[in-house]
Amino acid sequence: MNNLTFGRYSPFNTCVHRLDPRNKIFMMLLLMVSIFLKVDSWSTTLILTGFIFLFLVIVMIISKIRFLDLFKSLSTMWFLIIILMVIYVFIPNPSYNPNHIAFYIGTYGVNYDAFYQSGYIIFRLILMVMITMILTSTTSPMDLTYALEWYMTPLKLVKFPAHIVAMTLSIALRFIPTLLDETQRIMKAQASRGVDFNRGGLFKRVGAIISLIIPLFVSAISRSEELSNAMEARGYDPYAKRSRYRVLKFHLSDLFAFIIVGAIFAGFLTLRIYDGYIIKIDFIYWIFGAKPLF
Amino acid sequence: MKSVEIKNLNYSYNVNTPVIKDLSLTIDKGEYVSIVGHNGSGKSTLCKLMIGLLEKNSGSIIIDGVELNKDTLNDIRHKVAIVFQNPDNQFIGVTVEDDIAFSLENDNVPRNEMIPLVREYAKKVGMLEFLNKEPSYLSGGQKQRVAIADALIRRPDILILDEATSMLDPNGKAEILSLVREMRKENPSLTIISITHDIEEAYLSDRIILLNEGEIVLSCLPNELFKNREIIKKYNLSVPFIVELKMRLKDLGYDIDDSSSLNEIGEKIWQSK
Repeated sequence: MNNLTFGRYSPFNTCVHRLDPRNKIFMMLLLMVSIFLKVDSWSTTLILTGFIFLFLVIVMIISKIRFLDLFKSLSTMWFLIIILMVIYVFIPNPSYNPNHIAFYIGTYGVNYDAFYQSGYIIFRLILMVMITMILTSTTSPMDLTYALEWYMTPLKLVKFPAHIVAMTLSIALRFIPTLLDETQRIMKAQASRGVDFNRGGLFKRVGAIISLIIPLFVSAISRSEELSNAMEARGYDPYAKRSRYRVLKFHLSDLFAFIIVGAIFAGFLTLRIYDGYIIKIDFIYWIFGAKPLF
Repeated sequence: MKSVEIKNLNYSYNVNTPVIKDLSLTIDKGEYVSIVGHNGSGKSTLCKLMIGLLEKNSGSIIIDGVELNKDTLNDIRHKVAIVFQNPDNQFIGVTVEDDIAFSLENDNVPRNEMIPLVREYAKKVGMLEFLNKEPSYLSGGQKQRVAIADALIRRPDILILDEATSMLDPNGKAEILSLVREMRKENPSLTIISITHDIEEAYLSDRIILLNEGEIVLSCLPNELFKNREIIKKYNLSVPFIVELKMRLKDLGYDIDDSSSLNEIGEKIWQSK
């Protein structure tokens, strides 16, 4: 279960942790959009998003997230990265400059641009992972749920049961560790009966997984029944008016954080809208004095 | 004054197998009653009927003078609180404080009243320093103490413990039992109905009700039940250590009465002959 560390909430008390979760979700969206705005050439965009990378690294240091955790979560993405590379390199793309052929495989010319482009996509992926990781490891799942409920409030106008969805989500989150413990217990119990989860062919492994999943489902369903009894006995009525124990507050520090992220977003947006007017320098050309590749 | 009055109660999950058969029972205010019996004797079903989680087939359940039906369900649930068996499956909040506040939220209590109440009840069950802890960091006994705080914060007249200690280790069990004792001292009018397999635990109560196949076999003082060897043999009950000891010593010809403590027994043994 050690590889589930990605994005797990780490309960420190830093200024990033104390930010309003609604604000954090919104800032996350702004940064994600910024990353996906292409400005001028790929290389320019790459360097500009490099600033976001630096910004995220600083935020990670402030919020005491260990870089080791980031590498761990990225290491599970190797497969995805390789697939992306293969797709970009071997699928012909008319937008690549035909003069930038790196080498030939048979008669198919592998383009330099493909490497740059796939590199850029992978870089963006890493940034996305960093952003979500900052959000989930500095915000408790409960706060996230409350923030999501707050964002869903307008949907109440169309009779969307936002509070019920939020309650369901929070219970699901609450039971993740419990069900993980249960999974481990069942795995041990089945292993002691001779089920091998780590070896054997595909069919054998699927069989082993089924021997894990069925008891897990049975226990989860009986748990849910007991839980609903406990909730009902304590007077839970999903359609009644309920008060709140936890409230979300927008502090002054939220405003500061929002101004910083908002400025990054606004900058990217302006560059995108006036693409080709503001930035005409190609950074690669500028730095290396070489003719731009693309 | 009567706290619980059950008259001719019937209940069955399906037509052929009645779980509760024509059961009548009264429990006085402030009484501590244990309900014992085998698996499938209808103990837990009885609890669920009392807080309206199951709907009776016939008969009546009157709690503090109010008959349980669809209209009074909400009132009854304010009078009766229940602690279930599995500490994990009744922990609703993400942290201890959220969980204790859950029933207050349901009652639409304003937030500024909630905060002192949550702290007060967390203190009562000795969980004040764990307020912001998640359930996975708590022991079974601690989770069960939180469940008791959840139950008490609604200020019930009746507390039902549905095998609340059966999944705990001996330490956790002792914690919960001493907490129950404290609660009774603090609020003598609190009626406690404890469903239990544990005969030592039942021995602490004012009255034991023995249930078998949905019917009351016996309702008497703990000492009387354990003196009745026929019943004990017939229903395969275990006997608390101290009672067993007294009986064996009596068989050996020592003069020991039922109310004597372990120390007194010791005195008698070394002084005899």
